[in-house]
Amino acid sequence: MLLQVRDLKVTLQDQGQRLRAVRGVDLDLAAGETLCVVGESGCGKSMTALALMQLLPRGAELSSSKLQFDGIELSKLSRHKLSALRGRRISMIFQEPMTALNPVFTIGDQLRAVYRRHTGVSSAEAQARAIEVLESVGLTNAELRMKQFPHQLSGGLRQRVLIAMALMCEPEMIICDEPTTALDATTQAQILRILKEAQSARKMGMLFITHDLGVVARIADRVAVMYAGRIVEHGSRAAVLRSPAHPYTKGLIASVPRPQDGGTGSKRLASIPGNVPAFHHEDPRCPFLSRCPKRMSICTREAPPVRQTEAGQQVACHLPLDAQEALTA
Amino acid sequence: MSKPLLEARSLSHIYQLRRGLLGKTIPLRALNEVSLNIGDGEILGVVGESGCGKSTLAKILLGLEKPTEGEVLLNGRPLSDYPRHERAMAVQPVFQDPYGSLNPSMSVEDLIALPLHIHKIGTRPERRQKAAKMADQVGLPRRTLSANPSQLSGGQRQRVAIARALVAGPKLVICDEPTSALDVSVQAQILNLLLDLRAEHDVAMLFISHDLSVIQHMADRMMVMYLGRVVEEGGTQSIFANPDHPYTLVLRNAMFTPSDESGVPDLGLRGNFPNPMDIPSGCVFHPRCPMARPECARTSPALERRGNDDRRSACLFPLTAPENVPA
Repeated sequence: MLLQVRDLKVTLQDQGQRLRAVRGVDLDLAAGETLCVVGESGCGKSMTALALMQLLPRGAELSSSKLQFDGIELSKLSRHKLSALRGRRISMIFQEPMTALNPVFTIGDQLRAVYRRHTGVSSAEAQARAIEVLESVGLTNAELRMKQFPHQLSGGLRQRVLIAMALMCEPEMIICDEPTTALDATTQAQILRILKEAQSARKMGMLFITHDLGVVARIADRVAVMYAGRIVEHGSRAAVLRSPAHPYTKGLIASVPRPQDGGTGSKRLASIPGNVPAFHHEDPRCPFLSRCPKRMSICTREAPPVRQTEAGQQVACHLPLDAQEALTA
Repeated sequence: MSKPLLEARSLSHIYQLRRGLLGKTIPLRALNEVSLNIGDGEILGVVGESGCGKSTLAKILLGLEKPTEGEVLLNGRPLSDYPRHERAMAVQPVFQDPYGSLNPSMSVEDLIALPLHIHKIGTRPERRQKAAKMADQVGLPRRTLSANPSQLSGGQRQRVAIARALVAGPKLVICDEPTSALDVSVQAQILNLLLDLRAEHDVAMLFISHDLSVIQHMADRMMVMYLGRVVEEGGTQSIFANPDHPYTLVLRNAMFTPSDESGVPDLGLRGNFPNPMDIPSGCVFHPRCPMARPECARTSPALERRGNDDRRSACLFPLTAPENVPA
């Protein structure tokens, strides 16, 4: 297993209160595999990604019983060893390409610097490598682009530069946090194709964080659904999307406008009433409790057990939906 | 067809951009001969990507920008003839960002009642009563009336923006990406709310979105825009079933839904991102079009009616033309 995470917890400081952003997450990622972590804002998906890279904001507390990349325990690494790993064996792509690139250096400066730092090659070799990678992510006029500054590129081009930067050292694992959310639909499709092609060419493991179930359907091998700091459901793409077992997953899928709706505006979307709660204290009970349409009295008393469904996914629920229920809207 | 509520005739808009402090100005053609009609209680969807001119269109229809050419008629009377407060009574906006469009120092009640206050409708107690009723209708709990926007979630703020838009009884609401900043489960609540309010108040909407699935869900008719031009328009269902313009087809193929697991498609788009400061010759879409032929670089296609429905498209070789449909 490329990545193994057990009982990951992240606690943030929020106006003097402790905010439990990630509350015991387990993840596995194999080489060449795409795992999508899906959830809405505030569910802890970005904090999970940052915790893996040991890049949490100041004041955040992290704990885990296991946080291993290729057998290396990341939480015990020195800063020095960690930064040798980041960008070389593990890369990350963020949502906003403008803030991830340094505005006062050219694209070429930034790409060469990443490569030289990790490999110690000459500037000319780094230049050749940068052009090669830029072309592999579909950038035309790569040599010209190398001389440009980030603000001279469109959002789609900047995101390609970030992908190129992430791929410079042929990482074994790439963590993508909403890399296409700020982009137009056609650009999104192009960027996702480039990522998937790069992944299959290099057998990279990809951890892909998104709120968009449409994207999940197109790229995921496995899906983990996060809600209020916990993974509530986890399984193959087909199992989770076609027969969701957790009421939250089902609600989330049903709230996406679909072509089958007839589109005349006549059919109402299923929505999930209420808002995501914030957790300041430890609470082992189901986080979806306050909004769940299927809530039972046991849900208010006991932590939900993790069960395996017929379709093969794991679900943390006292009363998981069976395949029949999952299909009816 | 009866007289439309809102009619826009051949709107063009050019921004003059200045390079540097004393540099010469460069024209940016944001809109190019865009015409549209919206009937009472109708939802017209506008879809297109960044730089297509959809937000400029919204500003012009709200009277916030004067078009360089063309005119907007509201109830048959030029929008520019309306006194400002009368125009604001009839046409109201709902914008994308529920964080930036609400005054943070006002209470929710005052925010909702503000249009009534400005238009001097009713006494203060009457205005408060009306604001509370509007809050009920958009699903805001009564306790939020005394809160500030900073104490509300994104979805609740958008409900405040919608309540404020509707409180003075406008005939038309211009929604510019109203759910783009919201989570999907919250987006579903807001879309349902807008449809309920349309049914209740018979208010018409211009609904702008980059998200085709949202347009398909909401709009009776739709327009597809590319680089300031309308490339296709007509009934939403008809366009989805059989896109006429290659760009519409590309957009439809780029729309991802949870039920489609067919992998990431190759859209066949060529070239780089369109630049509104350097609009191509001929058909504006030809440099990227997967089906472009040499003629497309020379001849600019007119927006023409096809077949017998009200569909119009601007393409020299439309997809639904008999010779382009595989036997």
